[in-house]
Amino acid sequence: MNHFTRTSRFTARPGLTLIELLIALVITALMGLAIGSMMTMVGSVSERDRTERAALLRAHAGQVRLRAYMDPALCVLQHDEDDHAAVVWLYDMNGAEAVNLTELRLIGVNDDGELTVEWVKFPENWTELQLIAADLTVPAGSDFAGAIALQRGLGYTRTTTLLTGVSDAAWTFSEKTPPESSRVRLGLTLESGDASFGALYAFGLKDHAQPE
Amino acid sequence: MKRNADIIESSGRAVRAGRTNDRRGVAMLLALCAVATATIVTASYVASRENTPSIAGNALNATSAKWAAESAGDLAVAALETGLDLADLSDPSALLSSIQIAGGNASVAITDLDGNEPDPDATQVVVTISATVGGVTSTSQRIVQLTPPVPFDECIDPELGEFGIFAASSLTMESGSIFAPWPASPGVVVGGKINMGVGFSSDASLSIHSSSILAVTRLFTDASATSALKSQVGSAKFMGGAALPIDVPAIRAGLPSTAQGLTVRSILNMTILSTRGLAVGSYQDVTVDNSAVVTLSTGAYAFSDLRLEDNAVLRINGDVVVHCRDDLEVVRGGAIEFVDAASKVSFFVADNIELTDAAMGVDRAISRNASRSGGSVGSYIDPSRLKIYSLNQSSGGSASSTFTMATNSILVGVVIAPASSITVGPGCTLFGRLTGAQVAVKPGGAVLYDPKLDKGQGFTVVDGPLYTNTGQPVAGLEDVLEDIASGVTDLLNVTASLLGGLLGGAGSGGGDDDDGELSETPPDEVTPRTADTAVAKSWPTLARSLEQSVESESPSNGLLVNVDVGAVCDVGGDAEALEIE
Repeated sequence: MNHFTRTSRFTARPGLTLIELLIALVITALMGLAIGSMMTMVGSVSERDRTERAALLRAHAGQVRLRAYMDPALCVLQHDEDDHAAVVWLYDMNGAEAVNLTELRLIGVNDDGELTVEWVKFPENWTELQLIAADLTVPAGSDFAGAIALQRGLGYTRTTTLLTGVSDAAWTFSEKTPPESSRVRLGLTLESGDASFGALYAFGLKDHAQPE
Repeated sequence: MKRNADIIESSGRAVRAGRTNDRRGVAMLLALCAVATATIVTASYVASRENTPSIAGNALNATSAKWAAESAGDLAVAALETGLDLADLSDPSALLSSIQIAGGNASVAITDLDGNEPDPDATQVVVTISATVGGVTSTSQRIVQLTPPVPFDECIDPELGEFGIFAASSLTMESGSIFAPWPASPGVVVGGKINMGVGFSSDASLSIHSSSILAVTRLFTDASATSALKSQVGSAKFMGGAALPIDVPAIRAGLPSTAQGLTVRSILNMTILSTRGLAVGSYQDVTVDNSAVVTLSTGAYAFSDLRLEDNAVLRINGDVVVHCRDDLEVVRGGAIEFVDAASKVSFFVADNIELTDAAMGVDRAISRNASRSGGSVGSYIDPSRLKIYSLNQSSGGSASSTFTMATNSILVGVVIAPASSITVGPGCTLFGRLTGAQVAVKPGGAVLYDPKLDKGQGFTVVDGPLYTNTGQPVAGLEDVLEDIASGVTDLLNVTASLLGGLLGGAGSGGGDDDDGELSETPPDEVTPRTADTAVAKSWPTLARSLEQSVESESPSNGLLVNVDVGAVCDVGGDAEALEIE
């Protein structure tokens, strides 16, 4: 009875030798390590890919939104290299060949890394005469950015964000001065995750005109 | 021990046999795990890559759609340049529907600035183009300025309607004075300018204060101007203009025949204190006082002095002509108003005109409002319905008269007083236009020009039919102007037939004979295009849509993009909000 019992126990619970057990553990550990490494690598690649795609999406969004301003723009009136900003003459609503305050757009990168556009917007409750009087003509060669800053100080500007996560911006012009240029290039450095990506936008001002 | 060894050996066989079976099962499990892991990793990688081509494809389609829209827009503008008549279009909002152009499917609509069907004689339309490529639609808009052909014999407007202000002797715009287009006028167009003309020679007679507001104003001098005055055309105060090679004729009107020989209704001066009408005819001094309302119906009336004071009202019913042998005065809340939109009145005044603390051409509610201002005139009123002429001397006009607006007075009308000293006082607003000798707009005074008074062709159109290719007046024009200025005819007798005959225009058409531009047959029989007839400019629809959504602090229902303010501020997130509709 005892013999039968011991024999059955050995048959049901076959043991491993210590060597076999150690080998099995090592193999399992190696496989686990390999799979873990592979998963980590894949995860890393996927993460990088995701950030790249996010940067690509944002770059595309930036292209759509910047194009909304740059395609119909008549002229880049002023460039502030320090603030990565440019003042654009968007349209000629109030008088042919002359720039009025409401026709200006200030496109630049603020301290929060946002690419923004700012424009002059007078209060809705002003009368037409007040609007006419306030919408001054800004002569060519003026400090257009300063004119917008003056209105900003009075609370007469609005701002919206075109793109976030911008760490740097550089404007390049086809001619010596921005107003002469009919082609403009804007290089942005976009932050996505821990990485930085470059985005380059080129715009042609097909209705290019310099103010009188 | 032997027995134990046997047992162990026996059990060892049994264990080996059992272990062999277990190992076979583990290997299968491991293989399945490995396959599953590889599948997951591969699927994740593929999934991570599959959007990238779509993003690039969207960008490509968006660019293709943009250029397809540009092409369709060029086609539409070309159609307008080749004489497309809006009146011939059954549905301008579907000028082009689903045409294949530049790889895209495009549609073109023509509307007015408010998005409605344009009038057949509209001078400014909006062309909206949408093109679709691969499911991505690009929409753009262009503002197109149309210059309808003007009959040759209508190129000269003897009333000088093309000038918002025309000063024959001197012009002074004082600090804070305003000369601008009347924003409510349907004639205001994007990029349009208004004209200020001077008929004097010395630049010392032109005084424009640095803090006066001249909105989109061009300056025109005439042939008598000195070089110093001509140089003012290029000054920063003005947006161009020209030194015209002719003397612009600013002439006074004679009394029309309809106002002559009127039946004498009274030989005594009258003071009217109650509401009543007056019969057509001639009167002596008439004073309407104490909120009385006097109605003049269609016909001609003559007064020595006509004075409206203390909230009195002169109502105009029909087509009325009023001859003032002496002065016209509207003071202290007095008003001249119209019964309906079809009524109109012409005043022919021999001497002075005074408008103090009162209003002409608007409802009495405005004139009786002590705090009235230019903003009180909320909607457009056609200024050509109220004309004030100063009579020439042969019709009894004074050699030197005055026209004075004071104390927040309002006038919606046209003033043609080339020999008068005109003053638009502080707080006063003239909607329409004026011609005077000495014109002064005081601080806070405003002249808001109605561009509808400009026929679009005339002395100020230097490349128009009145001038040759070299900028000189066409043959016969100077003779016509000299005759007019020397008094051969008066303002009302400068007829279209006279001008048309002298200009050789036979009454209509023409205008292009001098340069032969339109008579040339294109060598390749391409439909001729006249770029001047339709000048198109891009319109920043997308940008304005985005901004308006920010200004209204609500998501836009604009034309081009699903502008989500939240998404705008967080562009790393919702890519759907970025797609062009």
